Amino acid sequence: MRIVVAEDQLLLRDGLVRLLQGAGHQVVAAVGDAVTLVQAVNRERPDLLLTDVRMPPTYIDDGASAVAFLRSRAPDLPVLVLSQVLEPAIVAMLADTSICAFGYLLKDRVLDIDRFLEQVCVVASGGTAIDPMIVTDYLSRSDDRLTTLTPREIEVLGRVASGRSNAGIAADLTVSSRTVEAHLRSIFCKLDLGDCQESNQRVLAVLRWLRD
Amino acid sequence: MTGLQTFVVAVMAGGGAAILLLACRGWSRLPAVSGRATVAVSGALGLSVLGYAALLALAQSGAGPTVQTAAAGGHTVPLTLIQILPLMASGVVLGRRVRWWVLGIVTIVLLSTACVVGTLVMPATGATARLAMLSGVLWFAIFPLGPVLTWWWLRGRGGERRRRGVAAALSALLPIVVIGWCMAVTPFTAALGWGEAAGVALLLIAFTAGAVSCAALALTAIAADGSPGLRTGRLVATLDAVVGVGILVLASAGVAAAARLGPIWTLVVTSAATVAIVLGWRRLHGWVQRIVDPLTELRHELTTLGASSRGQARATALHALRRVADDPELTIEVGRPDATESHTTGIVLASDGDGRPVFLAHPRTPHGRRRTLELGDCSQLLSPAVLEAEVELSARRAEIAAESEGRRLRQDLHDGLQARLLGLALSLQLTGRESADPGTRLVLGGTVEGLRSAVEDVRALAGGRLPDLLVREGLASALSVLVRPVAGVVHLDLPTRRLGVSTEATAYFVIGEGISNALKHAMAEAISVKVSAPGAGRVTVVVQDDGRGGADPRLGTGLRALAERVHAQGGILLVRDGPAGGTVLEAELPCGS
Repeated sequence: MRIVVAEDQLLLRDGLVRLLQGAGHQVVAAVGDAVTLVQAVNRERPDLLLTDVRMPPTYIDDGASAVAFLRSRAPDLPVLVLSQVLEPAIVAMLADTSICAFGYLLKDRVLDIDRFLEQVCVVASGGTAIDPMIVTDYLSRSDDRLTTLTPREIEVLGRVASGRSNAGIAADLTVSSRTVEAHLRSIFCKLDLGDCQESNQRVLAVLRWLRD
Repeated sequence: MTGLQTFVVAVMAGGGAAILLLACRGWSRLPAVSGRATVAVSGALGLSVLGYAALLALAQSGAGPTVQTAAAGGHTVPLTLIQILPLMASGVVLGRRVRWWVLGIVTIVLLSTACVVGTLVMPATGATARLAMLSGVLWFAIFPLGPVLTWWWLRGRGGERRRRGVAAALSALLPIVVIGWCMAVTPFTAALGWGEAAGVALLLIAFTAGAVSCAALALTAIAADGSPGLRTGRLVATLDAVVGVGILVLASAGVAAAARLGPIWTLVVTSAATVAIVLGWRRLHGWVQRIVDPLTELRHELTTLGASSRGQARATALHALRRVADDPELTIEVGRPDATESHTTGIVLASDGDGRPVFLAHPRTPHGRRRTLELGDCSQLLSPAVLEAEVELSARRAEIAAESEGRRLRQDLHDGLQARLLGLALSLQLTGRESADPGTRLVLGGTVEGLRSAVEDVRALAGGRLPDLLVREGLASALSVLVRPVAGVVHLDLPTRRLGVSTEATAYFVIGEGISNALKHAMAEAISVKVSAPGAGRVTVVVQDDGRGGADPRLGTGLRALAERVHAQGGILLVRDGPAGGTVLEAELPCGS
């Protein structure tokens, strides 16, 4: 997989490059600011963009702005955003047009190397990976459409949102894959997503959840 | 007929014609149907004054005894009409039913006249004397009725109605002035050594002037909008004049009475009257202005509430406005508003140089709204409050700027540190994975865990968002840490279950602000915090203290910011004085769990 890495801290950037290369990915560009980031993506057309939020030139939300700009031109560009702190507002901004091929994770998650690499692949293949802490926050809100879901179903939906596969969810909850599938069918049914392809259903369920 | 008599009759006829003209003009410009009866009565007054003049002319030309008698009682009809007219005008303007009062006045006049006729036809006995006295008592008893009723009805009225009501109530004072003059004129002329004819002439001329003024004021009260007589300045001048004439009449009666007692007493009485008038006049004039003009009333209230101490200008303005508008729930909004705020409901009382509102009042009752609207532009009076708000706003802006700068510095520092720690941890983690030696991997794994928790700590410090404890363990744990330094003062009553992160966060800020206000501003000694979730989806947060109370969310930026935060969450923030003193801060929040 061809990946562009954008992170202004040299030490972490080198670590990320090493991690991705170790997993057999090709890092086509490793940059340290938003302007170079946009140039690199336009030049390389990577399979995934892995970027920080706060970086030069303004150190506010340059990474997020660059992502918004790039996705407004190429909505299907897979992007995984890493952030020091979680800001639901940024998810709302970036996921506004499409939640497909999008991820937003706390930087610490890179230390769980295997899980992180799994999430990289999920996003690159058009899936979604939202940080569990944001998921927890959303789950704690009142929400009309989600009130029909059982607590177990909400838990499963949360894991879908953070980019887990059915097998992964089954392992997390120590249940069988069939049980997970049954939960998912029930969720899709309750959220009125019965007619779509399953991969689309997953995305739409997450999207509906984030929108509300 | 003597020259003087001819002159007096001419003046009276002129007065009657003037009243008729005023009535005709009033009829043609009348805005409301309800005023027709009043105009008709003023027309009747004009006719009756003319008729009285004609009767007097006939009587003086040597007509028969019937005409003589009619001329002697000719004042009855116009005098009754000038009592009825103000009442009717006042009824139209203030929306009162006056039919029964008018009927009562007419009945009493008829009774009194019947008594007078009785004394004329009956032989002079003790019964006749009693009848004469009864007629006098009845006659005089109705004179205070008009002024008392019209001024009584005026209480609590504001705006245009008040203005018109004042005009009607002024006309109601005129019968009193006229009758006072009638009683004073004989001893007055006698004291001056003038003849009886001069006294009668003075009496009749004053009577005519009173009737004309009364009709003019009553018709002004019900005149079309924008009538010049309704301008504040003119009403004040008229009221001054009526009160002044009244004082003069009383003083002249006093002088006349004193003149019989000798020159010393005359000197004493005149000096006393002069001193009373001169000293009392300024105060009287102020009172007159306040009666007519609410802006003067506001100035008076602001002065009465005292030279406002530092930081109290807005509170003083609020109290004064509440009194003037007679609306205890009125609220104010002071300061240069942000562009995002809308002011569709407030009444602008002061604007800045560019015409942007800087002082808005929000009356809660239609009556308060009318009275507030009547105030117009009060920029000059309210400038201390506006200035105070602006100073506070600048201070607040500086504070926000300093705070955000501090946060930026903190974040820059921690971002760098955090990323560096993460980079190290990642590097070690990768090295550990590549290493074949289990011992090395174990050591590196432990180091990575240590670095990971360091990263979390750094984030908690830099975030400045939610305390980690609040997110992790909920409101009860976070609050017990928050109030630990003041644990003896604060009593917490919290639900055991979690309420959802955002609800808990808002509740946390409400409680924090409430406790800090109670300790800082209200000097509270006991604060109780109660969080309850009575119904599904709602959480109630109540912070109550035993301090001195008086908090107003519109006056404090801390509470206002808090109200915005609660509002953004979809909740409501209420601040009120507690039933047993102190302040109650109450928030109702939507709840996710």
